[in-house]
Amino acid sequence: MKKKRFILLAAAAAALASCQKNPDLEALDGEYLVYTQCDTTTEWTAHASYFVPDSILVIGNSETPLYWKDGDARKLAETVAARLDERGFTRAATKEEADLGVQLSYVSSTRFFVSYPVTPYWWWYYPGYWDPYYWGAWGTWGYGFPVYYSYSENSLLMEMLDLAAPTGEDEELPVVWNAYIDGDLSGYRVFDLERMARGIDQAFEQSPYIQK
Amino acid sequence: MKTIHRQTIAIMAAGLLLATGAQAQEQAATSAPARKQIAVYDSRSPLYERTPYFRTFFNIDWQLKGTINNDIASGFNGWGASLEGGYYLTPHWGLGLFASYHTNEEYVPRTTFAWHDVALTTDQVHTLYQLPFGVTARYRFWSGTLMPYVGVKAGAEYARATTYINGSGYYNTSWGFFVSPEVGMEVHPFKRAKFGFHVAAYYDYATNDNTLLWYEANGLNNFGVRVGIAF
Repeated sequence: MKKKRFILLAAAAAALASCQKNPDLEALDGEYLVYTQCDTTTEWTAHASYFVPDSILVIGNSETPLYWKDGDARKLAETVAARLDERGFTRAATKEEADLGVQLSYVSSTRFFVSYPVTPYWWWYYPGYWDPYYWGAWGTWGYGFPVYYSYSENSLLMEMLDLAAPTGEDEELPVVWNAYIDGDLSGYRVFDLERMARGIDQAFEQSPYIQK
Repeated sequence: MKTIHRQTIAIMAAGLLLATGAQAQEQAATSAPARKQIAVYDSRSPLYERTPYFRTFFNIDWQLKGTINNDIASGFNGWGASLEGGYYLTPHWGLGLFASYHTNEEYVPRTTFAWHDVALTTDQVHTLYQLPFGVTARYRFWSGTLMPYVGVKAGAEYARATTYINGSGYYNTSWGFFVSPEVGMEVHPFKRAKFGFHVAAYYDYATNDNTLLWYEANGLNNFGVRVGIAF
């Protein structure tokens, strides 16, 4: 009788120790996380036009610049343009004519960054990363806010730049807004692209201050 | 997670030690003449001559728990269990040890959180894991087929609030003081056998602060029921 009781208690103790419930992550809706930040000193109404390149920088395993230029990339760029049009901005034909610039980067793999120095922003030194010189005569970037980007794969980074800022080798190109869209790949390219586009829509939805 | 398991196992080991000690005392109390008796009779009980009086109590229960005013996880569910064991110092007063665990979970639909210059849109799964352990005291009104009692548990509680966002978990763990009044009943339908059933209703409060992100959880209030076996 004593043995039975002891065995029963031991079984109960084992059950107590091992039966923590796993979270039901299947309940999550599968849409992408959308995170945005802005420089609160930006006067959006002072800007009238914008420029969006038709390619997206791919941050992956490659040590040479790789750009995503197919129809899918253009679709995402066009989604950004459509949202800015809705907010009253005019699309410029060239970056030289624009007041605002939007650069898009897609993180396809985090392997390259695992041992990378993180000063001040981990993505700065990625080969081919958007450079201030691409946009004009600025010496470096200028962020009006702390940036908390993630290393997750399948992330889209959007950064909006104030191209009306003073130029010069000692001048910073101000980043006035950024967005981070992230989620798992489903394995269905069209579905993932649609989710990413919805993420872009949401980024503007939660940034109502971007308004001409 | 391993730490939690180690703690739980340690608590259970303490429970087992208590059980073993209590059994030894029971054996000593009943000594040689009553060695084959599985229970003694309480002459002070109105059910004397008909029902046994057990010196030890052990309960293993499935536990349901609901949270009160908790932003991390609301609702009432049964993802938990409880184990307690003890010894009746008198026919009415019992003292022992207990440990239990419970997880409350809640899905938080997609929401936009905005603060200062930042906004975040996501949905979440929240979990609140609670693991109290300590001492238990109970007053048994009488012995018999039905043995109602009132009791109180007191001790420490480990709690962990977690939000799962986009596949990653962010958590806040805490320790606090735990207290829980309880009413319950053991049912022993089998003549001269200690095996029976147990049911209890309880309220508990822990001083833990598991506030996480935008969700307030300072002081954990819960209520619930336990259903299980007694032996």
